[in-house]
Amino acid sequence: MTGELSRELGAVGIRGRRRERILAEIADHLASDPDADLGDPRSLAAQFADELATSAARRATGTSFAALALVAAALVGTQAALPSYPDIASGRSVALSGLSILFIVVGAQVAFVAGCLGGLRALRLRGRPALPAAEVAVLRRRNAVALAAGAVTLAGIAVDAVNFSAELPAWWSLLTLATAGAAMLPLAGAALAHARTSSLVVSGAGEAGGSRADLGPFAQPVPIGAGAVAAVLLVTWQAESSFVEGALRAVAEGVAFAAGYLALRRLLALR
Amino acid sequence: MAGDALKGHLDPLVLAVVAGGPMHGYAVIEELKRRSGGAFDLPEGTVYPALHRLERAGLLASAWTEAAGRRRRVYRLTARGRRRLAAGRREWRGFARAVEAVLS
Repeated sequence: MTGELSRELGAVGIRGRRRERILAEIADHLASDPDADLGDPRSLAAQFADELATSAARRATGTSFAALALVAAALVGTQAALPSYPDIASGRSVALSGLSILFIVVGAQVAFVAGCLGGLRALRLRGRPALPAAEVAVLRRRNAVALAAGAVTLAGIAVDAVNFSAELPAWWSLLTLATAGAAMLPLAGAALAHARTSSLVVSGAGEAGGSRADLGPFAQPVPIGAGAVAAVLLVTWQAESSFVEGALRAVAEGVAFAAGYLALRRLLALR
Repeated sequence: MAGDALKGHLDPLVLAVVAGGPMHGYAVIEELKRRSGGAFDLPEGTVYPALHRLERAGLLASAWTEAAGRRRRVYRLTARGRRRLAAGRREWRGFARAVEAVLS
């Protein structure tokens, strides 16, 4: 029994101290009652894996959310510390300026959406000890996308610091690079935790819900996109005192929103 | 009672059994059988995922001890587990009263 269980545990990704502990407990049980009916080793290993993977996916979502909150704080803090907003063309390279804008604007929004959707799903399903494989897969994918987008955002912040180092005070560039580097550490930790737990094989049957399951009647991409476009228009119009600038950025936001939705809707289960 | 019917009820049953004092997995299964008069019949291995799950939830704590020259994992109820058990007992009694009222 223990030999077969050991193989089955390995097959579902349970290794190291956790596997040793399970086998030691089973061996102790069998020593107390050699005829004990412990059940099918494959089913038992699958039950362990399903429950471990479920709790690990939920925990990883929480850890990622906290790390992404630090990324958001880094972004807001470094932008708020800017003594003045430099012109895009005044950096070392217009290409670098464009790249940092793309990374920051798109990365931050994707990280926010994926992170929030992952958190909502983990919260909604928190009472269930073992989720279907499809649900765990959604949690893992949302988590992975959120972490990757968070890293892209930090890269954008760092590129900004380098690109405008001649234009802005040295202390701002140093502060920004240090902040981005510091925020990368918890993000890397969350990514490591995510990678470790993603090796568990989940076999529970059942389907995963789409974004309607998480957001209910608010799962409407068109009104949400329209709201984002309107927000960009109004904020930019106010900040730049230019309706034209606001309209241009709103159009860019609309295009980015639509492209992001189409590119990520399957990955993030946005149907 | 077959294993499938016990699903969803195993956790509070395990907490109630461990509330009697620290015990290892085999002792939990034996005590469950004894208290239920043999009514609870499930593959004994399924108690271990439940014990691990309850420990992850902070309702049980465990530690290695030694018994007859081998390692034994012994579980005890935490304060949080005690509160959950009390809440579970209240819920079950309310449920049982309601079912009894409908059936009778």
